[in-house]
Amino acid sequence: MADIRTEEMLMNVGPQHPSTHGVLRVVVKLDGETIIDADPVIGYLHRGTEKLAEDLQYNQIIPYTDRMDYLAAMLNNYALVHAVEEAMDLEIPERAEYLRVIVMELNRIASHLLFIGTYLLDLGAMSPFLYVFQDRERIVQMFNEICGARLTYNYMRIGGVKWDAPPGWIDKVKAFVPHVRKTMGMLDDLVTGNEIFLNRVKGIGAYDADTAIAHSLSGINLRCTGLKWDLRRNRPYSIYDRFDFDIPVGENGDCYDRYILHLKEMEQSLRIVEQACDQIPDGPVMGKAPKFVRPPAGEYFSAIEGARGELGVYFVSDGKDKPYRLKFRRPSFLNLQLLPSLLKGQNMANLIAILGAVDIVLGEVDC
Amino acid sequence: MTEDRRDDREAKHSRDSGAAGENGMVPPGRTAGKDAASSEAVAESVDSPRTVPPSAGRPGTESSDPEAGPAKGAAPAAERKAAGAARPAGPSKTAARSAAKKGESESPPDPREAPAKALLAEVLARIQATYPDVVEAAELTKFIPMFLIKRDAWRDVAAYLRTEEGLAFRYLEAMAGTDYPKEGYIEVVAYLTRIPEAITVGIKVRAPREAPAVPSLVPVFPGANWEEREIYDLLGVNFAGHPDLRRIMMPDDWHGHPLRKDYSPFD
Repeated sequence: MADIRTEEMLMNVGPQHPSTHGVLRVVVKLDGETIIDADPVIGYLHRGTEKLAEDLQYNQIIPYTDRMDYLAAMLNNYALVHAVEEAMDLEIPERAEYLRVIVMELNRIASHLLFIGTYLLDLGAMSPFLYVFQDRERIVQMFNEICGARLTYNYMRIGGVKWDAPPGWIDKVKAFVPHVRKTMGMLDDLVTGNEIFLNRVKGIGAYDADTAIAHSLSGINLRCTGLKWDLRRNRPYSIYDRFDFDIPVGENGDCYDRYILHLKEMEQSLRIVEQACDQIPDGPVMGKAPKFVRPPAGEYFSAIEGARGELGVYFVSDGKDKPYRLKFRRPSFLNLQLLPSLLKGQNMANLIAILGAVDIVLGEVDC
Repeated sequence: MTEDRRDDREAKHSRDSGAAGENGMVPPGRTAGKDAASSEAVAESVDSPRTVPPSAGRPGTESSDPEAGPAKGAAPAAERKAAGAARPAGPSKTAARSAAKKGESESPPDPREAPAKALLAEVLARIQATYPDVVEAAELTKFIPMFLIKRDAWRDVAAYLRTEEGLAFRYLEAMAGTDYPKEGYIEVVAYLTRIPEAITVGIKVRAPREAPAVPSLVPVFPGANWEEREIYDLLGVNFAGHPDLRRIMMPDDWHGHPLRKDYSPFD
């Protein structure tokens, strides 16, 4: 056993590979089955959203945000409209804020469900994938009813939301909540204690809070290290200060913590949805926003807690109806940075487990 | 599919926003003046119960900020009394803000403004005490203190803000670059945040367009790595000291830097 000589090998993973969740390419240098070096290559889905936005009026940019993180498009919509509303000090009708929170949290649940399904699929468990898609489908259908689209919602506007909820929609959401709880319980029974699963994820890809902060990680990738940092709580926006919810955190910062936090966060999102459905008032859903949105000249930065972490919008206005410069701080993009150092020294089979747990969406990485 | 096509059309028929405004640093009094008054008018004309999108958490709304205490407690309480019983139910912070909007007709004091000013003064004083003459301008950009730093001191100031006790802005929240062809420079801005207090300051630096070079922040904040690669790729800023400065979005053999205002595709 002592001196088996192995040869270094370059291996190309992706860009068309199902477990890279899109068009991510990782060039891996291997010694036997051990990863010596890994270099993520991105940009295959770069559409130049930020450049395009410079030629678009603010409300016209909203559909482009749908295509960034297409699994949580409601949150992207909100990040943009929120940044502009902040800059202009617009007031949003109460009902619109509640509708926004309901759809955002539902979208977060849908996104987390999909993460759990695909992550377990990556690790070889087929059936959870099918179960989560049933529930996600119901959320997507509810979105279809409220805004007419299943994936690219284009639902929010500067000043409010485009459509009020159709009659009975809120009740439907309310009835849906216990249903998700049941699915989550089932997933928990089915997966969380599974020994094969635990061996794949426990202690794998671990890092500590200082590393996470230094690398600008956010969302679950940051909270899995035990750090309580959720913008909904630490820097409350919209009406999140009215709801009672917890910020679950991990302990070891490994793949298992990242998996279990997705489950736990869904429970908190359900709590928010429930409370919002109970509190939602009647009234208009669109405030008095000017027809041509012209934020006062200056530069602005605001951020929300997206499904994958901190989704920030920086824009420079020169007083016109189009942004002079618009930049999205995409959580997936920054979370992916840590990947090479996580992979170094790992077994090749762990690449999928570690990459999957980062929970990236390539539309957002490349923007 | 249809939506995409419509977007393209919209994109085509509007192509006139090339010109830059007088967009360097924004005068600090911006929020108090005309803009605030006009948004006031909008606010008055709606009469349904509504809320301000608080997104409050700019420096000071979190109670952990030492400066936030008095400003948060005192001013809104008085306004709440004035607003009477008609205000929408909700926690005090949101209500207080909409009350503040209704109650006064001129220069409504935003509860976030005072703590932000205090933070600006404090951080400015501390930077100047250690690095005299490196701050070229300091102002509030909508409640975030923003400091324009001389290029030579860019990394030093970032490192100082990160490590110095009492400042400890350890989290690089975002970086962005902007091209200002009229003024002849490219601006790089970085937002630094203190966790968990959620207090944010911004620093920015300017580099001439012809040969833009800025010291890299990667030795201080490893998270700046890809952000700087992106700015290099799309705007052509050279980050001196960056360990791996390659294009990240565009192909390696791409010509030009797309986010520059005078960019035209190379054929």
